[in-house]
Amino acid sequence: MKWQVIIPSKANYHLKIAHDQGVVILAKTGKSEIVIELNREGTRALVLGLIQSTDQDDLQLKVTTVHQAPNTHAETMIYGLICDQAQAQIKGLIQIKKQAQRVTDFLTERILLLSPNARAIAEPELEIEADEVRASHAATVSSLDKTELFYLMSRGVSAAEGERLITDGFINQVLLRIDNAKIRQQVSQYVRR
Amino acid sequence: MPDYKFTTGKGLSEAVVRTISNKKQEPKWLLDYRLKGLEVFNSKPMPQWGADLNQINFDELTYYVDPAEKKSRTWADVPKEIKATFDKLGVPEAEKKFLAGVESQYDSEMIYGSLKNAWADKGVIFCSMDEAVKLYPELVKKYMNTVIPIGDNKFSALNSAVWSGGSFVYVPKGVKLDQPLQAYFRINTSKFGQFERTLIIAEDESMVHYTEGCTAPAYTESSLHAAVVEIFVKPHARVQYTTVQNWYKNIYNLVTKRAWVETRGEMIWTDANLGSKVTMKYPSFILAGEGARGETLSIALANTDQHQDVGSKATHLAPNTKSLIVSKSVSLGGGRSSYRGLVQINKGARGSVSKVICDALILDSRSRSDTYPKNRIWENDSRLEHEATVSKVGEEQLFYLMSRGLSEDQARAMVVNGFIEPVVKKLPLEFAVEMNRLIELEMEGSVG
Repeated sequence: MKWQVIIPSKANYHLKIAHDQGVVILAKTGKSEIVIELNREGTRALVLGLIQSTDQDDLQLKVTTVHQAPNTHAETMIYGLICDQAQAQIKGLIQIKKQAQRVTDFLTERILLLSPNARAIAEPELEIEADEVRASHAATVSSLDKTELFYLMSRGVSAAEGERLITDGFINQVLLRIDNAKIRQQVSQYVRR
Repeated sequence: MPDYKFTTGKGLSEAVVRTISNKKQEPKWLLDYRLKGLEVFNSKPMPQWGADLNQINFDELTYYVDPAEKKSRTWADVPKEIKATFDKLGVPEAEKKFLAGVESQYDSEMIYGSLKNAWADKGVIFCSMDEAVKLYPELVKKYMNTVIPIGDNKFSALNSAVWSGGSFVYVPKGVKLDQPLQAYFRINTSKFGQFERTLIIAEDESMVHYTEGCTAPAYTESSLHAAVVEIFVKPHARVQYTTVQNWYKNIYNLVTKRAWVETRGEMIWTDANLGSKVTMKYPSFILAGEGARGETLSIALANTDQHQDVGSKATHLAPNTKSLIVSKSVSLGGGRSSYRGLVQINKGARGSVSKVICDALILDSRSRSDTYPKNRIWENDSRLEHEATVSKVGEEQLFYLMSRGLSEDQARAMVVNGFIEPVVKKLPLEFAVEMNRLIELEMEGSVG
């Protein structure tokens, strides 16, 4: 699968996908919109978003997947770590047009609020005009799982180290979906820099 | 065509508002509320989000009609037309007698009210809002327009200006009502907007379940229903509010419903939207006291030319508050159903939990389904979960049922009834029976 890495800062992107493709979005702050349009019958898209907002960051990210052709399939995972006083507004819209029958699309948004002043707005949206479809979305916003942290600390790991292990695992869930080792390596280096 | 004693005629003006208030012999403070409402209504633009409301012609509506019928005392005195409405809803004859306290609204006025003596002895008040203004003005003045301020939205402002009818319920401290209070509303002249206003106050540790069913007889011109429902749930009290909305399919149903929930109080909205041309309704709760809980269970069915734009709003202001929103929608025959919701967890609402589940079924290729949730989380020590699915009735489900001898219509109705079952089972029994019947009725001939 072909991969494209986008680091949007205040820019908009419109990708028209005619062959199976993976898209990685690495966002931090600013307002940007990314539209992924599946125009050719039978194509697949895997959209992976990794968000790391810190300090006074104010992120407004909109990711739209538009199914224009029948038998198109997409999956979107947007994982976010929001720290300090940062705020992230993440909109994920799935649009399935009338002619796009036999379509599947799944969107997941997971947001961890890592500081008491971090804030998030999650807006997963669906607009479905065809009937032969299966589409779903799920979103969660929460702090770090205290029981997971407690488990690690009971094994002698410090709180800071435990938090790092958990957020590392969180990011890995997205990284492991990149089936191109070189791209995965580059993205991993970027997010852990 | 029924005979009307008095009507303000078509159109809305300050004179109309003054006439309504004068006709009802209202105190000055209420007239002031109404005039303020009119002012806000005129100043606010039509909402451009959500459903298309541009077809509503406010000059063609009649804002107040005083029906000729007198207040009925017994079941025997209830007009035949109303009884026919009960029959259409499928409430069995024997059950009607047992219906706890039936309040019917004929046009803008209550025409039938029976409150069990036992409840009255406990100090429970269940009357029309118009009566409440006369008999309990302090209570009305204290609570009205507080959880839904006059300027909340264009249609709550309109209601504030021209409201008429609706119910007033007051449940004293510690009183638990084990049977639902019931009210049936209907509209029966064309172009006549109905603007009822309901206020429910549940004092500490009390419990009440209020139910309303809406039906309307057939007529052709577009009509508007803009109600306002305000509910106060005091500490440790529990209020459930059930609506089965089956307005005739030319009605714009634009309703504002909100509850204020205090410490460890519990508010439950069960809301079924089957009728109307356009419904925009988002029952909401403000969880203001520690440990307060709110729940919305809703069903929407959008058939030909219908748009059900419904959802719920949960606002978490206090620590350890919990909310659950479950929405089931079905689109068929070119209908459109949209879930629109907001969960707001404010800073300081530590340990709060919210869960939102939206499931949608699309039955044919002409129909449409949307999901527009907004989740605003400003407290990191909290948890929000949201999930939504859209799918069609599975061929294999239909095939299985049809191989057991059901027709395609029956099989489809059975799958749809199964889909909404988790919400239907929370409705009072007679409503649950009605719901299943209404679904089957709607599904008739939906194939091909």
